[in-house]
Amino acid sequence: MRGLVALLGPTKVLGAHDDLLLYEYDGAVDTATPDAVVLPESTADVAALARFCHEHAVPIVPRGAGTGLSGGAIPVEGGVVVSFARMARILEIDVSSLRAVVQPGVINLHLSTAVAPHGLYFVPDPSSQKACTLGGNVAENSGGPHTLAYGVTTNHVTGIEIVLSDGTVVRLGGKAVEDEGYDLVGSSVGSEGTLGLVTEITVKLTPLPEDKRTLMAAFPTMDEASETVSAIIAAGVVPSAIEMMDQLATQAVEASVHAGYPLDAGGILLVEVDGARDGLEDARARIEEICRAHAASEVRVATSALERERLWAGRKGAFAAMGRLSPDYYVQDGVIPRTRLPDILRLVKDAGTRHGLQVANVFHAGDGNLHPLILFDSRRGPDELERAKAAGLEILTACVEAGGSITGEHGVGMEKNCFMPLQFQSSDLAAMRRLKDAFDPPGLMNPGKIFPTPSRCREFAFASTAR
Amino acid sequence: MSGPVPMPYPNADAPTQEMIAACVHCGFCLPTCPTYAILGVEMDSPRGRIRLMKTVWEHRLGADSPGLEDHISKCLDCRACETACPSGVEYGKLVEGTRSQIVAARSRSPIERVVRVAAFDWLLPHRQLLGGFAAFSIAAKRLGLGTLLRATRLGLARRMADLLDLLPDRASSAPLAAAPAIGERRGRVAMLQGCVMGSVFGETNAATARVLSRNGVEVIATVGQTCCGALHAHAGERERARELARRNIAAFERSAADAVIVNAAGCGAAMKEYGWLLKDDPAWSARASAFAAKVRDATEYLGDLGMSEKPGALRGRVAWDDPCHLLHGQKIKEQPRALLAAIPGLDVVPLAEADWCCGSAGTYNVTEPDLARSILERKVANIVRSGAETVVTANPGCLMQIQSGLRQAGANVRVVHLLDLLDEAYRSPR
Amino acid sequence: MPGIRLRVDRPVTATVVRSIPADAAECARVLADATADRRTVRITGSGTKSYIGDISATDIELATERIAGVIDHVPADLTVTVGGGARIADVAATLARAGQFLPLDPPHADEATVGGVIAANSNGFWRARYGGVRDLLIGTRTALADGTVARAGGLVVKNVAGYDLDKLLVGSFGTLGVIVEATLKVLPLPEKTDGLIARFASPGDAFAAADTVVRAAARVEACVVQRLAEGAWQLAVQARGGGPTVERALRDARREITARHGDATALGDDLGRMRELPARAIDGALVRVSLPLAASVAFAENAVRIDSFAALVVDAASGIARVHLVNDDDDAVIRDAEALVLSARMVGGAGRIERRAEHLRSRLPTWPTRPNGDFLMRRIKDAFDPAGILEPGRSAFA
Repeated sequence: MRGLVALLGPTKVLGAHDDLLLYEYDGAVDTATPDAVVLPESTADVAALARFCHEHAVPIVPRGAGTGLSGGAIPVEGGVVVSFARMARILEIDVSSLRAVVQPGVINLHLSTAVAPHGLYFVPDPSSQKACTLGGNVAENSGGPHTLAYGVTTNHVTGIEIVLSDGTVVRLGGKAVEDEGYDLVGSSVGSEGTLGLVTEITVKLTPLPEDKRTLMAAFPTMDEASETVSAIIAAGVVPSAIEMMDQLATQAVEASVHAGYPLDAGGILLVEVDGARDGLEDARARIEEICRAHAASEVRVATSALERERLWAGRKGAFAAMGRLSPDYYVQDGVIPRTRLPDILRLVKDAGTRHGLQVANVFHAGDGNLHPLILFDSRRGPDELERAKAAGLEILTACVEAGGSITGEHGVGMEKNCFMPLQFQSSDLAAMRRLKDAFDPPGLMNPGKIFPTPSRCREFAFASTAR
Repeated sequence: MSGPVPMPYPNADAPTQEMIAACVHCGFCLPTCPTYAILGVEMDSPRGRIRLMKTVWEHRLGADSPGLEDHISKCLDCRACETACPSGVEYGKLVEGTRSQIVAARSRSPIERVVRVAAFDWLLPHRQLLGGFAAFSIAAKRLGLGTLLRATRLGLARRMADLLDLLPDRASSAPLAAAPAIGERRGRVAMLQGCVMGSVFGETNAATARVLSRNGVEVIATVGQTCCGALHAHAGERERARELARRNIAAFERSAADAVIVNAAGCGAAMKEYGWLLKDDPAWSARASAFAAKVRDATEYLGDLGMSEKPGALRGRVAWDDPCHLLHGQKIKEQPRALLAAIPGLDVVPLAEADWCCGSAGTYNVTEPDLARSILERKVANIVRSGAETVVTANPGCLMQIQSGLRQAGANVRVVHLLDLLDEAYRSPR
Repeated sequence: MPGIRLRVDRPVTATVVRSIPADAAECARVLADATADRRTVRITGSGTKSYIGDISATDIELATERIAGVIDHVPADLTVTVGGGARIADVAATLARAGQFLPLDPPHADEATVGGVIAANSNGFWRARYGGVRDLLIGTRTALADGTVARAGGLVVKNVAGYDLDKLLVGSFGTLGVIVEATLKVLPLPEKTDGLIARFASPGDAFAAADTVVRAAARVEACVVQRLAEGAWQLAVQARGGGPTVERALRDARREITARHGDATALGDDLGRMRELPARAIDGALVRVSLPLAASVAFAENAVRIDSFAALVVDAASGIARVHLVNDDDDAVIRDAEALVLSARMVGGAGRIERRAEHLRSRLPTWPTRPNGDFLMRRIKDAFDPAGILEPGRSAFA
């Protein structure tokens, strides 16, 4: 602690007990208190910190806005939390190359707002985009509703500057679409801070669509809504987003956002198509027709930007609105091939019922990325979280058995690292470990994440169910 | 569950565990918080402060810990986080409750106690005293005391100089405003005079009454009213706030008004929460709730009622700046904008971060001068960038703070209360 | 090598053993044995990209031709899983029967295999519209040098469980393992395809028009600028999608072309010819660079002024440019090729000598410059293939 202050100065280091208590959580349920918090203001600060930690064998855990949903920013093995809150500048907007260069603490939505006057935006739009940082997006390879047509974070990052655990600063990639040699940028995106500390990011900017059509369709049950999703895709229409919400979620959202969702619907779809104005009406009509053919009781098309924003505000605020239903929730992020939606949704419900917990569903139906929100109340005792986690595990097991994944966009973190063997065999994990060792030989970068750890994962012994 | 544990907070005004539990620590509030934007640390974010409140309940932090006091007092109580919060966390109530606990838990120096008594017991509730104090201060300012104070290079003196800067060049106190309805009577209202409004911006009270009267609203005078107690509640002086609230409730109950009109957003927000303030007082809680339900901001009341008479034309480029306690505290966004748009001839330009605090925040200037200045500079920069010649707002604290910031930046921009501007428009030829 | 069927077949040199494993497990065993015996391995699909990199003789040539076929295709999931040795053309035929297509148009598309396309990061002009290999690839199974088969990614389009080793394989040229299975995103076949080609007097006009087309509301599938040794600057634009969208895209493109004094005619097989430049460039040297978009026009203007200049094809949407250099003077070809790669590097891009005449191989290395982080690449290579048996010398970085 004293060494850190001597190295970086007192304004960049927090060590008081009261302060450290506030870096023990993120947007999810796991907690652990750091030994110190560092607030770097430059790459040089980060490199100096890394060298210091390397010398003293201290773990380093990066943190953006702390909105993560897998405990990625939690210092589970102690050490220093590095908050990028003060490295939050947009360094360059290169309109002619369709790129922006940013520091990791820049808030996702702030970038899109900054480039909007040039008719551009940054595509990945996680629901937390008003708060989450681009550094966090790179670490988690974040998605969002509009990644169905346009891809996730990794598809929109062409360069990074990364500080390795020994303090070496490496600039990988750049503004060009690719570099020679192994794709180290692509390998680093989604590595959850376990390979190094990303201190600068070059991202793609995309021309804003000329127009959009946003539809809200209400269905009697989730089954009909699910079948509609597959039918839309099968018809050759690829919307920019297809989101689904069940009745419980709809009710929570309506209480907070008043998005105008019908409260009596069993399932709701939010479908958006965007692009050139020509052809959007055809697509809209096609989608509407498919919804009606699948028993939609109501199909509403947003007629103004305000109305569209309202429909989306409901979806984007849905997780946080759960606070109105229950003091705690445990959210899962499993992915399934979208054709399996109806079966898995039934299974999700059963899992909740078996453990005596309510489950709300708000998710990216277009890419089969589920978000069951398992509601519990920790004040009723520690057993509540345990039951929620047990239900979550059943859901994830089903996702993997259906050919899917334990996480689509939230990351593995410390929340699902014990579940990795569900999806991957030991040889698969060994291959990943090779990449880790090449970047971070001493294993100081965000330890206890992604890979199962013997201390915390003893009770989990899975045979991989993956094909 | 284990047996009863000792209550970690001093009394029942503590932030309740129930209300704290509504926070799912999603972090959506962080980018809306002015102190987080400047300091960049979790402790000075809404989520962090709520966590501090929670750790006290968990007995991991004392209600008298210096860290708790430091970070809770750095909060502007602007409540922008409430607007951003999808879980509906009532942050304003939480932070004011916590402040009351800090006041109760911490022993204070004799000087601080004297200052608190002077400010909260004597000055604010007594309009004549406050008016006199204001007149004295303004005189001092015009005599160049600010320059003198600054020259001493003493921290305290400089702080006082900054405070003097906040004051307008002229104070206008006016007698209780009353006015008949002109034309068909569409409503009958009582009006809060306010402490600062009454003693420094008295002319605005008169203008408010005139505008209402033009629109068929009778304004009746209400004797016995006093300071709303908002500043007391913000500072954790809940007992004192309750006392003032009781006096106001009793005074306004006697008038046969449809609504109680307030033209200071901070006061309106506090008075709408009288029900909450007095919830544990069986003799008063029902009366307080009934009273609170009648409180309307002047812009809210007139905006909802609709203007019966079109105002005259004004010229110039104007921008609207949301007072936090109007937008975030009372969720009033559209009505003032509609009223401004109804004045012919004005070029209303957008103001970036109009929903962002100006740093006034009650007594924040006094308690956190450096942060207040940084926040103000951001506001001033946005105003200058907007190209507006006039900034319109609706709260005395904001008026003073923005005016002082613009003056220090050498920007020639006028700052005016929306009701004053409307009054001006009504006097101008159509 | 007990238990392994090794078929000696068409030996390139007397010592080369050709191994044609039947499946992933057998492939992994070949590699395990090779590691144990320190025997080097070259991996071949259809052999279309043997000109890339610096190939030294190996003890074993491992052919993926039997690890082929479509393993799984669920049309409603918009994904297809195929063997690494499957030919792109065969996959396309299967998909077409279900009304879908693989949105990838690499050179040598008639013969190239999926594994080879991934290993060589072989993209075409559709990249800006649908993404490149790295964007379409969602899952792999790879036989590693230690005899294990590692799976990365999966069958679903969104998946962040563990590291994205798929990305590591894209452009790895077989140096990390043999791709035995790949899952890719596919799309419904659009109802209409149409295009145009225009001629311009100046590169400024051609690139300005291209830039506008790339940013247009109706996104096009390909937007390519070409210049041959003789002749004008050409801009080829192709749009695919619903009828109204395609018409709008071409209408806007035509308007822009007219404004820039270009003349537009219907598109023939021009894009196909441009795409196959690597196949034709058997003489001289073919330089391939990736550029920041803003640098494309300056690079192109510079390239056509070079003595050895023969042809230029620039994917204006992604910033990938190829320059074919031909000169009787070998030294001039070498000098010009290296200078072009360096110039790309200087403007923030990257490049390589993708192909050179056989007799220049020893004198003109594929990578005249090194990318940043090459020390990490070497560590990765060592971690995956400690004995160094896979594609020795193929890549300068491994």
